[in-house]
Amino acid sequence: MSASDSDSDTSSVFELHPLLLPEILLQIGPYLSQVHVAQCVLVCRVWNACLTPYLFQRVTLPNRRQRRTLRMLDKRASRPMIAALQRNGAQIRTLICTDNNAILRQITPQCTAVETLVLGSITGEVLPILRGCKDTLARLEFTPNRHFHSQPLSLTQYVQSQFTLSTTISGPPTSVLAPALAKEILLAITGLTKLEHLILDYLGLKDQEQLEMFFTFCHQLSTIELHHTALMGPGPPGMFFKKMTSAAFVDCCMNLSDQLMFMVQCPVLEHITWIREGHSMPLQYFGELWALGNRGLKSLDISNGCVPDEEMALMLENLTQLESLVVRESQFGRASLAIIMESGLKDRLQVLDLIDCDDVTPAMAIEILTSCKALKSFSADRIRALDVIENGPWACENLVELRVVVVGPSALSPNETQSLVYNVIARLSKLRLLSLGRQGTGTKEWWRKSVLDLSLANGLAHLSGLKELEEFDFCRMNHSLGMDEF
Amino acid sequence: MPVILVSSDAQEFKVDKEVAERSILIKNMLEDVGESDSPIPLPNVTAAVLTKVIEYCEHHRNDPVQVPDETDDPRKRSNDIEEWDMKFMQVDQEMLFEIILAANYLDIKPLLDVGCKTVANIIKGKTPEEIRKAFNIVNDFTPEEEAQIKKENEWAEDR
Repeated sequence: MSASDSDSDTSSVFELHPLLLPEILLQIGPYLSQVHVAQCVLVCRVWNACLTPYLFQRVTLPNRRQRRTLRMLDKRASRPMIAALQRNGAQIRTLICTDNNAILRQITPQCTAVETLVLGSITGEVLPILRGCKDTLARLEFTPNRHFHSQPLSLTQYVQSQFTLSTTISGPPTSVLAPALAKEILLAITGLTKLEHLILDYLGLKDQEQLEMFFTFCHQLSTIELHHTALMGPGPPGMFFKKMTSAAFVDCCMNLSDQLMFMVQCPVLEHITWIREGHSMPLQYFGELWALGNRGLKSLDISNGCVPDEEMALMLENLTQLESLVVRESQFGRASLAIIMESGLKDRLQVLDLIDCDDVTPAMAIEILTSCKALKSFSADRIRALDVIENGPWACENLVELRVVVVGPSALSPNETQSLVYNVIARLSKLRLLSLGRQGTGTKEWWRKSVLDLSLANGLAHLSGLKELEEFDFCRMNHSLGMDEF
Repeated sequence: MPVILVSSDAQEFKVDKEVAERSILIKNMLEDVGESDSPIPLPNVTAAVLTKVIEYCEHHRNDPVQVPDETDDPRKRSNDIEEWDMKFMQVDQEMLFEIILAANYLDIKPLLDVGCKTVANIIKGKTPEEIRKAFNIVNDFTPEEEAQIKKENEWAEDR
């Protein structure tokens, strides 16, 4: 045995391997994502004991498709998983259940400290967990098909759907809950003593007494999102929601005027999402109301609104504290931009999203990039290569997110053009997200006109200077990376 | 006023109070003792490790006090180590562990965090066997136990 061997032998008698000390492992746990923790718990017994809690902090129950992949569709096969979930139920802080309320029901008694609960399918089986975690739940989301609001239903479709029993699985869910179940769920929600964030849908509340009960409960919330058929009656009568800092109405069935009154009744509101597809939103009035109350709105999302540019401009004139503006698929244009450039918004705006705004020309987009110093996130359909080359580097050197398609023309050769454009982008050293390929859902298909190729020969390598970059979306970009590129 | 720290192998280190107080353990000790120039013994830290720790504290002497994360997400990022810290942590594994243990003992939270992030980054993307090999850890599971754990945690993989 060599000297060094005997050295390490003696030291191991005196001190344990540091990575077998629970106090150290417990410090490392939070830095590991679930996939990695799943590997760690197989390393040895100590690691298993120390790191298993991190595995169960955030649980997404497998949906039907995933259970098929895991061959868990029959009950027997899912037993080990359920047993493990039951054993570690008390560790679960975030629980996401998109469609599997049968598993949810089985693990509910052990899940005693859930703080965030996301439910995709609202049935009577969700009641026990709402009751069981009534003193721990801080966030509750009812999100059947949360991301489908690109194609929402009309109001008549909602109303009709109340009278039909929805049995279809595909397509957006159209029904509201049966009144008896809705009432029980309302009672359970209003019993949640710690709740601060609520995302609601499909409850279909319209009974006066129930609405009042709901609004009274809203006093304790700081965030509310009402989607589609969450509420179907009038707004809150003469109440003030003093904690509400963020409100969202996404194709909500309430009257627009009731929604507006709801917002006005929140004196410290800073973030608003106000979306109603195809409706003319009373934005000018909205801006005036806000200016009147002298309140500082920080972020506003009014995508999909059919509001003329001039009216949007009048609104912006009144929102002097705005830091984030999302106006996808709107008529944002010259007039609105002029207000931004003339007012303090030019140096204040951090987020600006103009995707699918047909009136936003490349010249306007480049004007924003070269003038708005505070910008951290910018999204637009397109900018022109020649503008980029002439006007770079941009003023917004702190940009963290950029989504844009760079289109022609350019006076230079394709190769020179690309190299210069990549060079300007590479100067944005704080970029974390860069998307140069797919923008928006519009039919304009700007990506077809992109001048950028994924090609090292054309300057893609300039981007290697972006040390912070975490996400690079090159979907739909031409690529000519080949073996000779390496 | 400088403070004198004494390592386990009896070496003395003279450092600025401001630097020494990056360690909450030493900060509290100094507060308890009051004005005094008697050396502070650190029986758990060798001279080699203490040199590294002091180097870190010197570099970060003017950092603002860490504020706890406000985000709801209990998971923390491990890919945000600053460049200087990254270079500082390029040491052999034994020293890395020693630094972590010392940071834990001396209660220097930012240093402990950087150490743990470095270990987490080594773990990422490795299979259990690769992790054992990387850190020289012995597998004490029976094959049956290992299979059972795998089966129970299938839901967490590949998401």
